Amino acid sequence: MRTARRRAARAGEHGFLLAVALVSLFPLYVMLVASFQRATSLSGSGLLPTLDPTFENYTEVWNEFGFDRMFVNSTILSLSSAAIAVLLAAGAAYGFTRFRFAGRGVLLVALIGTMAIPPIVVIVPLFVMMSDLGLVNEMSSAIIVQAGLNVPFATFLLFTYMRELPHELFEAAEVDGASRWRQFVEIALPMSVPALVTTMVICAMYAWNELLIPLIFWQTEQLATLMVGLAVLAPGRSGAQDIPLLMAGVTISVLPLAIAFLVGRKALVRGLVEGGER
Amino acid sequence: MASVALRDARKVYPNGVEALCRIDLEVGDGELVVLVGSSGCGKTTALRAVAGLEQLSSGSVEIAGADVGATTAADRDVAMVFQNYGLYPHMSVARNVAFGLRARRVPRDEQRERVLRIAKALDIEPLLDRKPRELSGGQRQRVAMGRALVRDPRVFLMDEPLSNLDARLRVQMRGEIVRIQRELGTTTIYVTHDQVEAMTMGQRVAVMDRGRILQLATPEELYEMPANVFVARFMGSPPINLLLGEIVADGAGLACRLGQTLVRLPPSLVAAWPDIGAYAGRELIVGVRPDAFELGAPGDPAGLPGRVYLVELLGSEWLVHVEVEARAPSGDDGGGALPTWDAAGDGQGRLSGRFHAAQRAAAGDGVTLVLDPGRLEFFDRDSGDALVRAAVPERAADAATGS
Repeated sequence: MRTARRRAARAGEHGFLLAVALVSLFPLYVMLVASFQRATSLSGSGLLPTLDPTFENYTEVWNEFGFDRMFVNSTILSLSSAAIAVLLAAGAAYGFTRFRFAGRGVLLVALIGTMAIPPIVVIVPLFVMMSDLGLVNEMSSAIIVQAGLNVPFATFLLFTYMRELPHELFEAAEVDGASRWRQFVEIALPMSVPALVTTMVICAMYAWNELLIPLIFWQTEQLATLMVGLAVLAPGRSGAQDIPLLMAGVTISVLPLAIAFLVGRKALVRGLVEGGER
Repeated sequence: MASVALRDARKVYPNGVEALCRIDLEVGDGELVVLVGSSGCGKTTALRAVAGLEQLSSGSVEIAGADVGATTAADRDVAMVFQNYGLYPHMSVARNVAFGLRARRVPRDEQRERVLRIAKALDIEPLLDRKPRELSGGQRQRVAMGRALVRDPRVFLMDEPLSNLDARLRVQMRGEIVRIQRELGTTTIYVTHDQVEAMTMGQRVAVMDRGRILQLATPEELYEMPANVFVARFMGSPPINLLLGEIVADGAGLACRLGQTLVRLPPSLVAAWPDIGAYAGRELIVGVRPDAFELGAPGDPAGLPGRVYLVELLGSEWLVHVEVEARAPSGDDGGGALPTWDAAGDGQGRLSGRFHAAQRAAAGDGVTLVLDPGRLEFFDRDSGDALVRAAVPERAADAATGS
């Protein structure tokens, strides 16, 4: 009796989870199915896999719309801004965990508080600043801005991890004669690798999906990113939407992140949920 | 090699807790001093103050006669072994051991040579390429020792380094640490809460309680002549038994009344405790070591009547616990040094004694305890301090004659 009830409850849980999974996967399904269809055949049976799939949309969007260049730009923006943010945040997080100084708490709260400020609020002053520096339409501008906007979040994530690293290790290193810098490089950083990887991936993901910043700071076609390209593609060339073409573009832009997530899923989750204590 | 001194050292934490209350401690060049006490007594704080991991609120730390208060831990040239070993989990054993040498920019060849030498000495050579997580507790402990030894520091500081090991390994490592320390002759401060470790390892032992050093002496002195009731209770396993006794002066001389039993104090004992006569008519705390009495037949008029309530086998000996017709001191006695010692809290006198199998008794037996007056300890009931003792030779002679 009891087992039957438990089995029914388990079936209910699984049913619910399956439903959630289906709802979540549905847009991806539509994206994939549509991207292999011809513009003309989409109407009517758009939600069913086509019997006559085509790669044309991919080749067109890649070659004619410059998605190859955009892909490179997106990669540069994501990786370099994430690397800079993680590097700065690691130093800041180490400082907050290992140093006791006046105003430490206030500074930490202020830094984390900036996470609540939407980027659009600061975009105008940032633009003015960058244009004064003559950096608009330079590679560095969007990278610096993107990295800067990610630093508070990255610091917060790394701080919560590093705070849990055993104090004894740093004390042992101190007694052993290691400088603060050596403690950072040889102990704090290597012991925080799971968190560093997770933070790097999340920051890269934010940058990859960012539209506003590259749109404003990289205004030339040469510097357009995938998100900018999709935004341009969305209304269609002649005003009418070319859904399969758009979906091919979306697939290209989603693929690297999806692969990265599938490969590093376990490490990513570990970095998020675990502290440094082991 | 260097001497170490804490002078008038006081440490108050931001939350107001006074971890060290103006303590003075001198550790001679090459000496091994053990700081022992229950948790929160300030022993680790004292050690960390010497290491430079804790800043004193006032007072000073001296190493080799120089005040090192303004020096960082890195510049004090001390090595520390931590309770949880403090091994870097991402580094191999070899890199762990060599860490201090790298930090001090010792040339690579010399690093390698010194690590190998220490690894051989500690028998960890086959482990050099392993990570700490692949080692057993005992092996980790050795690696932590190796990391401290390889630097050849002026002072070793050890913070309960054996507390995570099982009992057998602990005994083995205890001997090994003492051997290495004697061989190298490095000044060592060793912190533990285990009085057996303290007694067996320390050339001198400082018993600490609530931020104070209650007594700093050799293990023999601590056991034979405890300065107060706390030290007496702390050193020795099983601990000393405590009863309330009244000093009675009558025509026959001095006696100590425990419950209804009058224990005659022979003149040699009175000479050994010159102040005891002044306590006539007053109560004091009487300490009875577990081996300072024998089980007599019930009804022996010279003995303390009681009833056995528990018998434990220790191996070659039996531990016999007896409820006696005498009172135990309460938490308020002895200057509040024994707030938790009387677990039952009912004022019932209880004695635990160690006996060979021949003297075994069974639970429920009525017995008489025949005390050896020469081995009794006397403490002031209010302060908990031991009564003033006569010069040591006299007392030793008393003990030898059993009078």
